[in-house]
Amino acid sequence: MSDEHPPQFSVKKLWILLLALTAAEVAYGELGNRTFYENKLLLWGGLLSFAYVKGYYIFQYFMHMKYEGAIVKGNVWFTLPLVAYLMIMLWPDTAANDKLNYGIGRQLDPQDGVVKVHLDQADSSRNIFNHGHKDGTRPAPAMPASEYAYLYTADPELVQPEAPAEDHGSGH
Amino acid sequence: MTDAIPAYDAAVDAPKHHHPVYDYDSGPPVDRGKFAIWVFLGTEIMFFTGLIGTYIVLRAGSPSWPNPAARLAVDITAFNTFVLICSSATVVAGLFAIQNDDRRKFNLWWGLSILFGAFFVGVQVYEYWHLFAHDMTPNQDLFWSTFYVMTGFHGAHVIIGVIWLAAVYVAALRGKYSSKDFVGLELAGLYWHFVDLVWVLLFTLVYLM
Repeated sequence: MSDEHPPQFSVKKLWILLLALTAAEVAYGELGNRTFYENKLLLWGGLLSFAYVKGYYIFQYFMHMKYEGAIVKGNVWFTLPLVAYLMIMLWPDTAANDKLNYGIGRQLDPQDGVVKVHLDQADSSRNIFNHGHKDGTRPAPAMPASEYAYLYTADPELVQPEAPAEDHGSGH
Repeated sequence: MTDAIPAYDAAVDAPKHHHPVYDYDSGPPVDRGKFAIWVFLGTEIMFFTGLIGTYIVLRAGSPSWPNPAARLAVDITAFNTFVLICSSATVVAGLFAIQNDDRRKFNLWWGLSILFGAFFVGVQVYEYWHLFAHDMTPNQDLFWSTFYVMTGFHGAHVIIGVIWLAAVYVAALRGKYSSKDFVGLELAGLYWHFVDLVWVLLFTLVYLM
């Protein structure tokens, strides 16, 4: 039972604001993808700012958090450290990916079990952590060529992993 | 001669309560339903954090990532985002109407919310059908895998939300809710707004970035 009515705000104003923000966000994304696609900080930072502002208004007004008491607020804010913890725990997987033998984005060939990546997929220009270009003007620094060359080449001698030495029962 | 003492009768003499009876409410000073839904939404936040966190790891670790605008119909989904935001607004308008005992407006706004939600699901089904028809399936590459996992789980939440909104709508049409009792509508609304909130983030991450 709810004996006391919670405060009511102007749904119409908030609705118009959210629609305007969505339209502005889509327009910003379209413009950014055409004109400053390589500037990830500007493009992604702007888009995430739009998402944050929209999420803030939905959370505070539509979900009524602005008018809730300490118990409900504390209940929700308690999840934020958990969210931060999860992201921090996932971060090494992102940061150390270039050091993995079986890094993200490479696939094992189902026939011979060899790690492969298509050359045309090795373009890292769309990766915020890797500013290399396909045309070679700025080589991708993520993969040290000497150590992980087999990931990027079709040369069978380089692709084939070293066969394990056969055990002839020398201990007997 | 004194009257005989009656024998112990369990049905009459046994204590009526097996626990202490207080003359005050021992629960938290907040509606139990609202407390429970926020605990549940906390777990939902963690669920989607796991999905989005995994998406970030896979995307940042991939040698390349396609421009979503080249693969997805951003304009259609942008319109769908409009529709979902409209549904959130109509849910709030419906809640305010029932708080003012205005049943006619409540019926209008809440019914519109259900229609908007169903429309959103319909557009997503159309999008999936279109993508599958062009062999853009989850097993093609990481882009499609993450796309289908995140939008698929969100779509499942939308379907549950539409069912929930419809269930309380039927109950409201039977006269269950009023300005004195609208918590059931509030809980369904909170879940629906959460689904909307998650979509605001997913739309930005998956379709625009």
